[in-house]
Amino acid sequence: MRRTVVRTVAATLAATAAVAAVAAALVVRGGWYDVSASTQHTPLVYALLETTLQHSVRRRAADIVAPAVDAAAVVARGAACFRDHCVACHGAPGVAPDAAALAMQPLAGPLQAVAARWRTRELYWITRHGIRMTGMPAWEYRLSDADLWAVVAFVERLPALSPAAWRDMAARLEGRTCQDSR
Amino acid sequence: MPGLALIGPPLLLVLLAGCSDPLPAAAQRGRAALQQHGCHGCHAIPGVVGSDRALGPPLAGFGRRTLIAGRLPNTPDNLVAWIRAPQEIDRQSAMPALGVSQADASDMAAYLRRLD
Repeated sequence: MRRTVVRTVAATLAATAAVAAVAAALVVRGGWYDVSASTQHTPLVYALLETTLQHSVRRRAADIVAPAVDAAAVVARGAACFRDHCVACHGAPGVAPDAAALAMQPLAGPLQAVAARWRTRELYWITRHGIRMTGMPAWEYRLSDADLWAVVAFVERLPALSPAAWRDMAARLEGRTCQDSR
Repeated sequence: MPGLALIGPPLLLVLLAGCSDPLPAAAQRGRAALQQHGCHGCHAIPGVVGSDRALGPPLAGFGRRTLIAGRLPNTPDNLVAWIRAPQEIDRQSAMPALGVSQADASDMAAYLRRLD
């Protein structure tokens, strides 16, 4: 009797798994899933990706120790790096991203609010390693470690920057480069 | 055929995705245009997936608002003007001009004004 129950349960599980695999294969191989950027993610898929991203970053950044950065010169260098490398996709206070970045799926989005969402070490991790399939590149191959931290320090000060303050700052940054101090 | 009972629901979901939308055509185009201009980067907009950021005001209930940006009467023409060139109306606004065409702005307004 007991064996029959175990067998029935096992057979049911196996059959369900097989049917699910066939269904998944049909959706994938049949081309049913819409990958166009002109349609939005379904709320379920979006929530799944977003939650996965949050927890992945949180775990991977857990052991990073953020250095204390408050020297104005470092923040100014971070601002220059931000202007050179970030504004195209993320925009700045009162400044829109480039046209191509506006319709990206997912949207890169403005960075004015990310400091409230992520810890310093997590912002550093995201900037350094990038996020696959979002368009966010791994900046560790383009910026020195000091510059990565400088960008993070500037991004954490973004919420306090009004459009007018950014315009002033951008004018003062004229001629200044995002130094690669490697 | 028990297999169909299992394949059926997900297949039906896939087939139905995108169909059976009761919105008028202009509002449907407007919702897509909001997404394509990245409006959800700053505003929470019902029906636009991924709008969980709160840099600008949430746009739920927009159809019931009396004012746009706290200063313009909420009429379709004012809304289109605001969407296309916010900083010409309020120089202090953090909302940038996003290169929205007249037609897209008009569709966006059609969608936003239905939000209640």
